[in-house]
Amino acid sequence: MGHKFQIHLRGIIDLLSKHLYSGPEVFVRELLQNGVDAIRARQKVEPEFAGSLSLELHTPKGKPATLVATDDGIGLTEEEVHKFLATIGESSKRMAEGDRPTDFIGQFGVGILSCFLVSDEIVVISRSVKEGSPAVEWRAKPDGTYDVRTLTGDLSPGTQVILTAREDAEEFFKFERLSELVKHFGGMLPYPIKVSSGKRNEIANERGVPWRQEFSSEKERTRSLLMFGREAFGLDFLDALPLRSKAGDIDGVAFILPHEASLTARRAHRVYLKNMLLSESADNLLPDWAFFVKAVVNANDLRPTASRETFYDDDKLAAARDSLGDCLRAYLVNLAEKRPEKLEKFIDLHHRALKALAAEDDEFYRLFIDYLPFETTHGRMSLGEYRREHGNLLFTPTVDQFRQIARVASAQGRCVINAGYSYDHELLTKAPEVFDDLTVEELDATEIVQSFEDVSLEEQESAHLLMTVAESALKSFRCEPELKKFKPNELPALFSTSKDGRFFRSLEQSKEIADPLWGGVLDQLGKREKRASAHSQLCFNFENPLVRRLVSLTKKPLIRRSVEMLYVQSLLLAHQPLNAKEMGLLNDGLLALIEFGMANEE
Amino acid sequence: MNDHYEHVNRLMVEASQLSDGPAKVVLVEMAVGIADSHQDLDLAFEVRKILLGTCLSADNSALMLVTFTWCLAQHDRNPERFPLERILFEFRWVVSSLPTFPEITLAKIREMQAEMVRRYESVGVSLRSYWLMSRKMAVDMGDAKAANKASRELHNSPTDWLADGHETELGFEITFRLFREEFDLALKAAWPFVMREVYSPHFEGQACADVLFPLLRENRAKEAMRFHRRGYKLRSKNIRHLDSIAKHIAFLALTDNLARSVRLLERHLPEAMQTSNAYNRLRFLIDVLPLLDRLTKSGKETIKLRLPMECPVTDSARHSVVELHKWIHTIAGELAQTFDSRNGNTYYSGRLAGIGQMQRWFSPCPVAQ
Repeated sequence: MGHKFQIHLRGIIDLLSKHLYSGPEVFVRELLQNGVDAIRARQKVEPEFAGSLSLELHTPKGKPATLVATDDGIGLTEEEVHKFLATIGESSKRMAEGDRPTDFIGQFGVGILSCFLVSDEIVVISRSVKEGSPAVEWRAKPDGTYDVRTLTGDLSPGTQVILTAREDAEEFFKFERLSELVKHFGGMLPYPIKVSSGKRNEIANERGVPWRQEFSSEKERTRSLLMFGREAFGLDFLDALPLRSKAGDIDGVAFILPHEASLTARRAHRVYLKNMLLSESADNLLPDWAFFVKAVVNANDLRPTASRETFYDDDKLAAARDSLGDCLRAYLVNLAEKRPEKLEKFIDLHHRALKALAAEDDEFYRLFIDYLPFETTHGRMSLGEYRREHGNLLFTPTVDQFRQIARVASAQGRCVINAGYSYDHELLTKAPEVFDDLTVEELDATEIVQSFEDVSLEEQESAHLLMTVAESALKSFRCEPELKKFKPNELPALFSTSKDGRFFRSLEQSKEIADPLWGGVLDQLGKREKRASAHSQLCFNFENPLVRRLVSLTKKPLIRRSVEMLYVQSLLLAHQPLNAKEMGLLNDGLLALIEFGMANEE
Repeated sequence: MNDHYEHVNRLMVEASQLSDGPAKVVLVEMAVGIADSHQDLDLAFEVRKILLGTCLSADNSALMLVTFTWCLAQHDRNPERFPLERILFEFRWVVSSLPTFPEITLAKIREMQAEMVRRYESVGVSLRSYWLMSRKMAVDMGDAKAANKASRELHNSPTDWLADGHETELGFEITFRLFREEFDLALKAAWPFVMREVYSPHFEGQACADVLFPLLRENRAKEAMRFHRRGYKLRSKNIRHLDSIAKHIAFLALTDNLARSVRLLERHLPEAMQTSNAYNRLRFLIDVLPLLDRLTKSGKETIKLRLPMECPVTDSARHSVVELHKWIHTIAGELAQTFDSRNGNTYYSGRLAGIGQMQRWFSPCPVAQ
């Protein structure tokens, strides 16, 4: 024996409004959708039928406003009214199209319930095009009860949905708001939608969409697309290009963002399904690297997810995504070949996106790598400029290393690239595949010291005391002193540490405060690398006048204090964080300086 | 007055713009350094907590361990200011990463597991996530007995606020079932991810790789190809997922897509040689061997590809397949022995010895369908 679930309709409506619909305004989308479905169904039996929709507001004084949404579509017979409007989840479209309809927008058959978000009663008056069908009225309440009656009189085929504004939903029954919502959801629909209230009326979708229109020139089309972008999103986009894909039967427009976009920012594109707005936040339509784009597209052959927020990520969407990616690629290639000024502006804003693309696409890499900017010790420059001016590529792998050596490398005329940002390392190491005879060298901060000029034997001997004291002063910081000659002369000392050095600084720091168990684990971890006794180097510059004076000093405490202060200063210059012990040195040194000054005064 | 906050904030924003990887770790490390320099303990703790997650995503377990040690020590010094609950979630990442360091002894790993239990019990939370991690660790160390015990305990432990979510447990179930060679159960656990019934891009990426061999075994290459196409993209950008990437490479070879398989090997072998995670390197090297076997079987004597600097056969652009096979096999063999000797078994040497068996599943299937 079959039983029926007892359904609490109010609960279902709450559930829908909280979890399926983004807000009560979606009732407009559902009304339009039902109307469009009905017109399409009528066109199947009457191919020449044009179809139209209207939304008419009535605002009698002292009474709640009403909205009459009318379509001249296929209409419903009494039997269909019972079957489709009274059975939650059932959809007339499913019966017509099989389990997964592709011809109609709606799939879930619960759309009509969204009207309960704004009205406590739904009245549907419908007359089927089937000959001899009388008009039928269906009157439903949110408690799940409904009445159906046959009407007399000669109504035209089609359907009217009549809603009466609930107190908390009055804003949706005002002309401006309603018109805005109709444009928002149905601006792309191919049937005229008339919105009216008293003497005011308009065809909400009169203008259609610009990328489907004919233009006298490419420039004119771009101008029109950009104007559409400004109206839709309030932004003056950098550029606009049409999008097309056979897979998914997609057309639309991609706007180039006028500001730098974050690599990790959530993509949110406006998507229409069969010309009805599906979502403002579809995030899986374009390739990951296309984060510089805001798209508006219509798809006639993709499946929406149940939440109707985006498209179902199946093979068809994957193919569509590749095709749309190709449109963007072709646009960028065209910029490179024909519009260098625009390309320059584009790169200025979106070089990260280009880098992402170049990293995964060899052909694109060849085309764009020379245009892409990198941070160097000589300022920002494109790889092309770098190659022309400096030849082979020299880079540091991290921002930290770059900051350590930037000043010295620059003074020595060596142009070093900072490859510490996303994709830079990958892009630079790939260069020899594209450019014959080009070499790429990774520079470790400690290596740069090895390239400095050695001091003579006499000079080394003269600095014996300084180096002995420095060795003792720096030992507890696991730093090794070195004496060389390098530019700039005004720099007395250079601190450098490698990636491993930095790791061991952290390891030591944690070990100092860890309990024996954890300290023991860190000990075992530390054995992994062949561990040098020192993690870092402090290289004194024999060309520096202060260092020359230090060499001539004989009082060990003064030399030690000076070394400690130079150590702290060089850490700061290398953008290295000071640990508690190093902060202690700085504080002690400053206090000693004050005391020394006061003693002189006294 | 609080300039260092701004500086730290700037670095964190800069880091958030980067995809997961070493560059991001360096920026967060720099932020830690600034907080330390200003002796701002609260900020230093907060930023280190972020660093833990950044290290996890960048496969930098060594720094994660060092950082966690510092956080735990701060808790021990001042339990009220830095309650243990704030770092309990990260505890599992740290302890479960220990088997990936061959230099950390088995005894020390056991001590750390006991420490995890002690700390969890001290705040009265369920040991469910402990058993989940212990099972993973046992699988990583090739210890079937311990893995089975942990699995039983896992299912007997209650769920609470600290326990992992359903997705995580299901994701780890795939690995456990593959380890036990229960391929049908592995497929069953992976299916909700590959069919997107459960939403988790992380485990979807893992599952898409994990189903490849079980499906090949069942002669379902065409179906598996769908998951290769989707799954490789999900995993290809992060060095942390080298193990999954290697499965895709082998799968391509076993479906006779040699050109694409070689191209992926060329792209990811340097990463495998550079990674500080020796365990991931080992799993990568073992799982790409079917490609070399396949090349040999197809009569290919030499191939043209770029190899990492470490490879002794890099003199020319064209390399002997036999020599390359030998080189990868040797490194994998040495690593397998290192791990096996620490783990007290022969699990990885056995896996390496049996890798040739995978050729039984050879089933040509084009990538594009």
